[in-house]
Amino acid sequence: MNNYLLPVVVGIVFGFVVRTLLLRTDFRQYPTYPTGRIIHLSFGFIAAFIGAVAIPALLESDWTAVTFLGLAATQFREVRKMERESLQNIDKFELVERGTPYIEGMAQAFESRNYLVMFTALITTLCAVYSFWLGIIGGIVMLVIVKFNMSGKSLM
Amino acid sequence: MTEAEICIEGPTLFVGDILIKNVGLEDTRKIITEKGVGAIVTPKNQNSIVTLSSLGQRQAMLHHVATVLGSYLDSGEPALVPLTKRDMADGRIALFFLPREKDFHQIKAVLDKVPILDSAIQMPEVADKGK
Repeated sequence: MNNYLLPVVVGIVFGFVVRTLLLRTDFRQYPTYPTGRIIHLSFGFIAAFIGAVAIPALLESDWTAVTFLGLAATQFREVRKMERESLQNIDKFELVERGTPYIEGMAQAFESRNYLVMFTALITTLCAVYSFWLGIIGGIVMLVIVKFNMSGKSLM
Repeated sequence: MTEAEICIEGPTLFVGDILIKNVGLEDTRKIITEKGVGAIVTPKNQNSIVTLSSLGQRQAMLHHVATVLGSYLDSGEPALVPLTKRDMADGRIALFFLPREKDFHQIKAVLDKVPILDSAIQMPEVADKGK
């Protein structure tokens, strides 16, 4: 397992960086600072970890681990539920409401970003297993893709 | 997107040519003429007519404007709650709200940045209508 340590670390680091990049607290102040951000950063870390250890587990033919990782990955749908519930609770006390469709969109974004993190960590580790520098390049490529292609449109 | 005059004819409140609602109290009418702002969002094509018609998208616009520009509003003031109304003939959306500053340059800048909700996007133009 020791020769997988470096690829896994690279994967986790890039996954975590992606989550940090995608987590932006702007004028809306959501996710709230600092507590909301900590929740999402830790979720992102877990997602990065799951993504990063998947490939080594597969290469070692450790099918139990792979199955459990798949199971763990499905737990991230809870993120959506959590965000939806808390936003809906807040929304009742806004002067001008956000509206349920807006909340639904935000909740979806939070969930999908965790999957993006997982995917980034997975790809990065896959590349890093072959060579450390390939891993770094793969990670940077994923970073660019995720950061610049995953933003929605705006009214204009 | 264009600025539209708020006008009150008798008890009816218009933004441009789109009817918003009835305003009963004289005091409220005065506040609205003083502080109210109207904007009309004109859709670019068939797709955006349907996308903008979504009630969720319209609420998102109001919320966005209210968070950035503030609003002259409190609980228990139903007459001052911001509203959107749709011109059913051509799909233009009229927004009525009471921001803290009546500077249309700012309002336009803020409205331009309203995110389009994924759930609101509809693309009737790409569908096969037998045309």
